Amino acid sequence: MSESSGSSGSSGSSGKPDEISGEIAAPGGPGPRSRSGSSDVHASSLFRLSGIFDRKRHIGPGASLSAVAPLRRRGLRRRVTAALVVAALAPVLAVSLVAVALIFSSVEQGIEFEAVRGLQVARGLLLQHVQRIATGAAAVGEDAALLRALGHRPGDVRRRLGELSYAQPTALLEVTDGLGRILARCAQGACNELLAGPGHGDLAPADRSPVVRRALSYERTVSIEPAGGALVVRAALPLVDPALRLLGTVVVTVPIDGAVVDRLRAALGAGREVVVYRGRQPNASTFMGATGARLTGPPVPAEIVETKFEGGSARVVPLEVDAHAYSVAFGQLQDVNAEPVGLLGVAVDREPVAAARRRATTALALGVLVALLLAGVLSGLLARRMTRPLQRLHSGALSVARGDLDTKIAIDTDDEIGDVAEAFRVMTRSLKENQEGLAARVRELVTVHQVGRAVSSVVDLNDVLRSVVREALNVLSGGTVAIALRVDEPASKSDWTFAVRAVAGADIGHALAGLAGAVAELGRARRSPAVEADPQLMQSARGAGLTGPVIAAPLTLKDRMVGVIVVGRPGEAPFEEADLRLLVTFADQTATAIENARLYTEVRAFSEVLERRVRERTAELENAKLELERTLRELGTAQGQLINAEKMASLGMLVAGIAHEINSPAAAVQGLVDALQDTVKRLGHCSSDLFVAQLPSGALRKYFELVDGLLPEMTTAALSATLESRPRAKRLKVMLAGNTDADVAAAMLAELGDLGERIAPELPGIAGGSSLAPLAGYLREIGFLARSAGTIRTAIGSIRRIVGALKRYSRLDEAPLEQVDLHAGLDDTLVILSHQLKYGEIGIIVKRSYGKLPPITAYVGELNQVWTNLIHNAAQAMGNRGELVIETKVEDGDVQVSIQDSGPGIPADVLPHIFDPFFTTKGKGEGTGLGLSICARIIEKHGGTMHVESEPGRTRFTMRLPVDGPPANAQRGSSAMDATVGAMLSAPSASSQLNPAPEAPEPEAPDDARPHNLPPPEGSPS
Amino acid sequence: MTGRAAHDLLRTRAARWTAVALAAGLGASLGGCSGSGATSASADRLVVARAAEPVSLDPARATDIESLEVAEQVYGRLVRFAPGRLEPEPDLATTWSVSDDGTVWTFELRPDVLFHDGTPVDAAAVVFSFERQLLADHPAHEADFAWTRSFHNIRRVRAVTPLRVQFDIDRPYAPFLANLAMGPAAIVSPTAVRKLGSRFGRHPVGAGPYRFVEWIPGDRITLERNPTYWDRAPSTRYLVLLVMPDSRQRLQALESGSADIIQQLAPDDLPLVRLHPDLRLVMAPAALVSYLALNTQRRPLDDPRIRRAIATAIRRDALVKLVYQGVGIPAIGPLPPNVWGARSDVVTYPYDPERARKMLAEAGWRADRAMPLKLYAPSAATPYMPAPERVAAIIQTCLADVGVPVEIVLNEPVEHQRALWAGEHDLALHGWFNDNGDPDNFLYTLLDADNTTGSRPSNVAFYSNAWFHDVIGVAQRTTDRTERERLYSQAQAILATDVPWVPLAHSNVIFATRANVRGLVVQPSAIGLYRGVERVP
Repeated sequence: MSESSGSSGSSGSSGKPDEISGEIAAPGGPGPRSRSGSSDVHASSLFRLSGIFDRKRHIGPGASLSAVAPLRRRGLRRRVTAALVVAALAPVLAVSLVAVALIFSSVEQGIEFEAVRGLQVARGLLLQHVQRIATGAAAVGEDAALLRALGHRPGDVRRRLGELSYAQPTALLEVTDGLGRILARCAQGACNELLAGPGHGDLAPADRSPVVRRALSYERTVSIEPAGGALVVRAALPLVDPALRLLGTVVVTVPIDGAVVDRLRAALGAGREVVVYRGRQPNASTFMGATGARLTGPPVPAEIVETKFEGGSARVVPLEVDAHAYSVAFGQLQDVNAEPVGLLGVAVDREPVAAARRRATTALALGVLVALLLAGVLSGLLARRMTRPLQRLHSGALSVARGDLDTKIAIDTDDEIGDVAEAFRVMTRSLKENQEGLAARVRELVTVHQVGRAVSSVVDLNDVLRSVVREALNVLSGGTVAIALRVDEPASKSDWTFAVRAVAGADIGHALAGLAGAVAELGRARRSPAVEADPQLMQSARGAGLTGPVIAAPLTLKDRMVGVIVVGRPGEAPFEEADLRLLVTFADQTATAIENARLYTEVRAFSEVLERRVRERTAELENAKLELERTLRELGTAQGQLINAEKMASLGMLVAGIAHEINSPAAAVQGLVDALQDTVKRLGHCSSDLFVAQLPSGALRKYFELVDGLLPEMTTAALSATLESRPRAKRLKVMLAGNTDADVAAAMLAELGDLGERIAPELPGIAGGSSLAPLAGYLREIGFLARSAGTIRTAIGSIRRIVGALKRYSRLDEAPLEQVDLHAGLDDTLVILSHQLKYGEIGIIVKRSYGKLPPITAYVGELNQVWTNLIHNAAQAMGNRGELVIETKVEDGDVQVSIQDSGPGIPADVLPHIFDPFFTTKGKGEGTGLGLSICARIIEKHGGTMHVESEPGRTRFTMRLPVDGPPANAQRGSSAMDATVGAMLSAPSASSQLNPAPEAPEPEAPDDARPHNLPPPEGSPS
Repeated sequence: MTGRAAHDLLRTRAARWTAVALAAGLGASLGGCSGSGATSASADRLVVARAAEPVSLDPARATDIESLEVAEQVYGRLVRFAPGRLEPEPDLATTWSVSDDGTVWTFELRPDVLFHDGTPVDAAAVVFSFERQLLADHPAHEADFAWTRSFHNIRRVRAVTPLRVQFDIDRPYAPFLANLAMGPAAIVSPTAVRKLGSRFGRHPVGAGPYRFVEWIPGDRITLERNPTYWDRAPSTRYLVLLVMPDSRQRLQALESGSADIIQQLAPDDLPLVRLHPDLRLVMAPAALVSYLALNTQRRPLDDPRIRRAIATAIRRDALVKLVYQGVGIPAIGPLPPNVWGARSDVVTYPYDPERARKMLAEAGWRADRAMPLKLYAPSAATPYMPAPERVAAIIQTCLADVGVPVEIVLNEPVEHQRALWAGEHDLALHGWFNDNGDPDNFLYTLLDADNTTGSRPSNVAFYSNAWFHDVIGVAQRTTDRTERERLYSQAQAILATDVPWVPLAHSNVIFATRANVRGLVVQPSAIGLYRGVERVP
């Protein structure tokens, strides 16, 4: 497609029409660009095409096509040629490759096989060598002279062994005694215990070798083992006398050195090398360096180092030695215990393989080249023959594409291409016909579009009609165009009258009303080649002076004829059927426009009426709004009153309790104060008695010191009960017996309780024989005084506590948001309501199960109100006897307070409503019905939730409060209660979100819902 | 579009054909290579190289080890020796029982077993197999049947039901069961015997793990796996038994991989096999004993004290190690350790020349007055002893050391045997290869007073002990295995005290295999069990 886009670009200078023609030519060659852009082309081509038709131009500027065609002309032949070349060459290439691969792999396998076989042979030879050494050792072991020397003349051993060593020039001979100690060590006639002969000096002595140990237990052994730095063959056998006494051992050691591997190599033939490793270290090899020096051997390849040879398996690896490539088969060497001691490698020279590979590659390359040339030439010739008819077809198709639909394609073969050519001819004919039809259709569409646009954009009927006639004149090439509309609505068609409303072209249009009537009478569109020859229209046409061809169409709207459009044409050229079709379309659109215009007028009139009504209603609404505002204000006042009522109710509850709480201690204080007057009087008497009494000097001072010391203890001591004082008085009397007025003093001291008993022994000493009564009496009065003072202090403390609680509690709505200890609030509430909780014989048991709570941010007064309400309700519900459980804990980061009573429960029909404002089951005046609603609102305002569940014997209100306090918007409320009540008034059913547990089987009646006739709370003196 | 699709199709097809061609080429190359790389022992062929050709594959005729080994693979018997032990286990008979008087043995046959020729294995076939050996007038009887004596105590063989067969024997005889596990007790196909007559020995038909395929004289015998074998069928399809008389040739065949298993390794080749990573030695103690017999009926060896002193004077362990060089183990008593009932805790007489001298002195031995003892030894190696002359020399030196003069008499093996039967010796080197794995076969045959008489006495120590004789006799009539073990234990204790022999060695049977051969079992009878052999890659 690069050609296609290039061609449009190159022809871009010729302007819009060329671009379009380029697009039209595009279907000849598929391509992404023309396809992807096709929707745009269709969308915009209407306007461009309309331009073409306006100028009466034909499709087919050939310039761009001629630029396209030559570039493509040889594409097919090239492809056919290429396909033939590939078809011819691919099998050749594939077969060649396979053949080469096969040759290579079989050569490779041949080499590996050679190497493995070489390894087998070399190993066999090496083991035969080992066997020969064993045989040699056996000969030494049976040497009678050596045995004799060993048995009788140890000094001769070395000499004899030296003689024997000449016979085995490569071997190191050693003789040990019966304990394995080396006696002699000889090689090539030279004997030395430590060193022996060239090439043997570095061999470690055999006395520690396993073969010697075996020989010492009468076994003959031969093995391959490392000795010093070399791999050796070592044979050992026991030396025994005829009675099998062990005289010693003989050990023959032969290093596996260059001479040995050379022998192995000689048996393998040319191109083979042998290498022996001790462990994984090179030991000896037949490899020669570049200088001709023997190499110890190449290092073991990494993959062989890792290899664990299983049961004699051989591995072949490539190895490069001195820049020469080999394939080396590695096999294991093992000792007599089948432990690995080294490796044997046989290398096969890879040079012949490499040469063969080079030759094969060259031959293959040449062959492929020749095949390529041959295939190219032959394919070219063949392709030309095959594509010639296609070429012709191609050029014919190009001509057609250029717009020359009369092109003849000169192909008359009887093959598929001939069929294609024939089909192409048929296709060209049909294309030509279709193109003409298409041109007409496009013209119509353009006009209809324009008329439609004009009609829809104008609302004034006259403008519409003018626009229609103008367009009709243009498109239909008329001489005159007129639209006549019906002006009345009589029953009979013949009585209709028409008035010409718009005219274009020749002026005679204004006289065409009559003709319109005639057309209307026909009731359908009409095409007359010549109006003067048309019997139905002739008369009225003549009246207007119209001659020549005429087309006319009624304007029909929902089966109602509203007018007629007439087009006349001067001269002879008749209208065609397409023209009439177009006119009918115009007529339909015009009729629609007329209807639109009429509707528009109606809507205008109607909307004016509407606007007037709106104005009236607005005024009414203004009044209603004022009324509403007034009502709301009144409502606010009522709300305040309600709140006050609720506050007063709470306060009433408080006052009743507090009065009682304060009354009790106050009464106690009152009683004590009354008693104190008498006490003070008696104290005066006692004092005077004391001074009258004949006490020893200093005794009085001692007595007062004693009394002063006891004072704090007296303040807290309990008053001694009468029952207790009697036995105590008896005991004291015994204790004080012999003193004056002992029994009187004993009775007095007994009233002091333990204190009296403790002080009694001191008194006789102080009295010094005079009467004890004044001392005891003073002490008794002082004691009573002190105790009374203590009791009064306790009572006042109690009063102070209540007042304090009241103070804290009473900060109902003026308290700001602060850090609150919930437990303090709950305890204060319990103190204030304590009179209710103590009600009755048994009373209410309050169980407090307080968890560890953090201080929370809250309005303390409001929360206290909640606790008061709930505890009060609970107490009432239980009939003031039962169990109240207050539980607090932290759950999911929130603080949770639950208040549970053991009352009868809330009935199921009541439970859903208990949070509704003004819902109460109490009698009139007993409650406002707001208590629980307000509680719920307060909790909600704090950002918490409130929840109730109830069943007989267990009703539980659970409040959850966030530690961080109420959400920010709730904090700004002027008063929690005001906001609460306000919200309740505006949304009476909002309490539904407070979640009263609906599953509770028999809910109890709370607070305002309480139906029972329980006595109202009142103070009760205890 | 059509053109393009066709073109694509063409291209795809071309690619596919190319792939096929390549695959075929590679396949051919691989196949070719594996063919060229394979040795002659292919995956489905287990090749065993043996030293000699069998004589006959008819179990009634075969006496040589090669024939018996083939028979072991081809035939089933009523009972067979358990792998690695000379102990009968069920084969074609699943269970058996003995009558209270010990003379009627009843065997229940394994159902639905067929001979290789399709003939069912039933009681009639069992009766046929024994009667043709026992009854001289049987149509299938041949004059050269070799084992007739083994079964001479059978009075009658009866087919009770098609799957139950009964043997009546003339007296209670416990080793009878072990005799039925021996080669000649093989059950042959009556159809094949009747059809082939005397040619049956070259076309054996049995019910064993392998069936006979062909026998190319001088070269090989080929056997094929019996797919309907009642036990686990062999894992390799063919078993080829090659004849290679030269031990070096056998070793080379093993080294090159053209044989998987070879037998009768030359002792000199042992180090090579040990040092060769491709090869393995498989050794098993043979049911064989070699011993120095002391003629208990001649002075001064009729005195057990002298006999005990001689036993103490011989350096036995060193002798066995030196002479046998790893292919034998020192013997404690007559029974090899793999024969049931063998006792290892009897009194032995460890080498102690000082003590031997004392023992001799206590027995009144006067070295200065002693006549030399005649030690008879064979002059050539025997299956039980590789170098008898050397052994004799060692014994001579050892005894001379304690003051017992010995004169060695070397004889050709045949003459040696004759001299022993005639009782000319004082001391004699001898050995015994067990037939049936029963302790009785050693103790009764070699040491009971019953066998000291006749023209060919097998008790060449001429040992006669009434107590021992009673114990052995009771053991023969007892069928309870535990009781027999107790009795033989007692008998071995008697021998250890009486010392009619100085037991020398039990030889090993030695096979060599490729390193990748697994599961080869060498029986104490020197027969290889090939049915369980596998070759790992």
